[in-house]
Amino acid sequence: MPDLIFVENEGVEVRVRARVGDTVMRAARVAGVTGIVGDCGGCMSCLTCHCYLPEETAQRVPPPTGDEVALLEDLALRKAGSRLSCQIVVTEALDGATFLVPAWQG
Amino acid sequence: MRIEEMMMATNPKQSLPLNKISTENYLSREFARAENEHLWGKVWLVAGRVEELKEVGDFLTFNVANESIVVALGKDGLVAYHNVCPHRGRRLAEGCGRASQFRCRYHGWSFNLDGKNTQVLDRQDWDGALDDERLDLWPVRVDTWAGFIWICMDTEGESLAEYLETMPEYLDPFELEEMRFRWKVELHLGVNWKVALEAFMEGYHVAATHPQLITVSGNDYTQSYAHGKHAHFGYWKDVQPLGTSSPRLAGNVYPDAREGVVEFFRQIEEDLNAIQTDRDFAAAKKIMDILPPDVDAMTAMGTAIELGRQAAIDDGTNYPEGLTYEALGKAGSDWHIFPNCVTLPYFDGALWYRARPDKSEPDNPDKCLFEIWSLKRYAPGKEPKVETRVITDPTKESVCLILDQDIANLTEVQAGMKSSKFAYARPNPVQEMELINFHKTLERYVLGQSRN
Ligand code: FES
Ligand SMILES: [Fe+2]
Repeated sequence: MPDLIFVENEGVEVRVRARVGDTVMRAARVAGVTGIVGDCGGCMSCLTCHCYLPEETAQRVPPPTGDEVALLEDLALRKAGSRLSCQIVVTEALDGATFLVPAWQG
Repeated sequence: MRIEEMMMATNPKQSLPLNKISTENYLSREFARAENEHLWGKVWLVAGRVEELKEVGDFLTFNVANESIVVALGKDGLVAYHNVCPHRGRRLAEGCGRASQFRCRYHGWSFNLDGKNTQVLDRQDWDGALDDERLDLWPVRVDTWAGFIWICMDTEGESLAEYLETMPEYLDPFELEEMRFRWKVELHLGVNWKVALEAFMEGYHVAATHPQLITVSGNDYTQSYAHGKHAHFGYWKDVQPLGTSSPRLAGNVYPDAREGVVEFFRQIEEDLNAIQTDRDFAAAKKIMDILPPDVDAMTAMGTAIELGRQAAIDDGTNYPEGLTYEALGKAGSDWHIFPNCVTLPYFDGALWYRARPDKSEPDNPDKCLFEIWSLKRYAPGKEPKVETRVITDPTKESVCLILDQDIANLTEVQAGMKSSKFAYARPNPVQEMELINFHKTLERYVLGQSRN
């Protein structure tokens, strides 16, 4: 089971043991990572699972779909590396990968 | 009796016609409904303060009549929309907060800060039928003046600047945009929204309603004038310095002019906590030390005001540069901003009132939501964090002495107007022009023309 590392906005690092095939959003929620909300359960309508992927993490996951890219456009806090964590499926390749949590969600 | 005298006796001097305000404007459900239909959607209204929306994504909602408006700070400035999802009509946003998008909690339809629909769940089910349908949020015009966010639901018509007419000429020198909330009260009252607002639209009531105040507030006689839709009143006739007693009273209550001035600032600070500030009161007290007991009233008042100004500058707050004594005098004391706001501005503080029908029952002429905001100039970053105090029963909870006195009149007026004998109000043509002008303008919006 791969370990994911979430860096909460206050700088707290949370290490989460995730199940392969789950989504990064659900793994974060189960572990109680502050700042990953996931109101819509992962159907890409709430945008409250927003996180930033450092380049090193981004290389380990497939790129976002066109729908996700379009939705990311609207995020006030969007920057390079922005992703919806509900669209990232956990694989062994993500072991040790880092995800940064934004200042606020919505 | 000579013939001329007889003529005089039977032909008294031509008097002005009486201004009447029909009780229907306050009591009739039809009139309230007509206001909801023809007034609120056509005028510019205060939706909030500019400083409430600091970061992109910050939003607030403003409800009036049957409408709800959401105002947000978008990437390129303020945006405003009707707060309703075009799918099944659920309200989108509630209260205030921060969001990158508006997402309907019912079926998840989403809209970005530009108001554009960004998501319809299972859109293919419509099989193209939505393609030509407007799915974006309905825009509302938004602008700012005096540090307030103004909205207008009518997408055409006057700009805010046109709507305000000449008023900014009088009020801009106060720099209300530099002020921040000192305190906020929201009252839920069993009276018409206009009854609440009108308690603050004339100075004619001061002698009877606030008898303690006229011992030190100078001459309380007011004059009032219309300026288009808006109007003001001020103390321009036989002006007497603050700290002296009203000419309605025999003698001067405080023979030592300094004591009168300090007592005036004390009353305003303790019994109103608005317009003039704690800083002004503290500064005014210094005149006891620096002026002789036999100083004249004008010098006592002038020195106290100057000390207040100096205290504001020392505090890092600064003084509005364009606010000369001439500008202060020209503005007067109180402005009605059509339809539902009133302000009393001073150099380092202001009172601002906003009234509207109760949002849970907008057609009920006997209920309203009445807000009182005390604003103050603070040194940068020194403003307090202010929570709104909500008062549902003002007989049980006090705001402050002066406002309690005003509020005590309200339910008595609303009830009294229902008397079978009372068909119309008889406003004072000199001192209550704000009311006369208000109803004339209101009737033009609501009925198409004024009754008189
Ligand atoms: S969980 Fe709602 S968009 Fe990702
Ligand atoms: Fe009053």
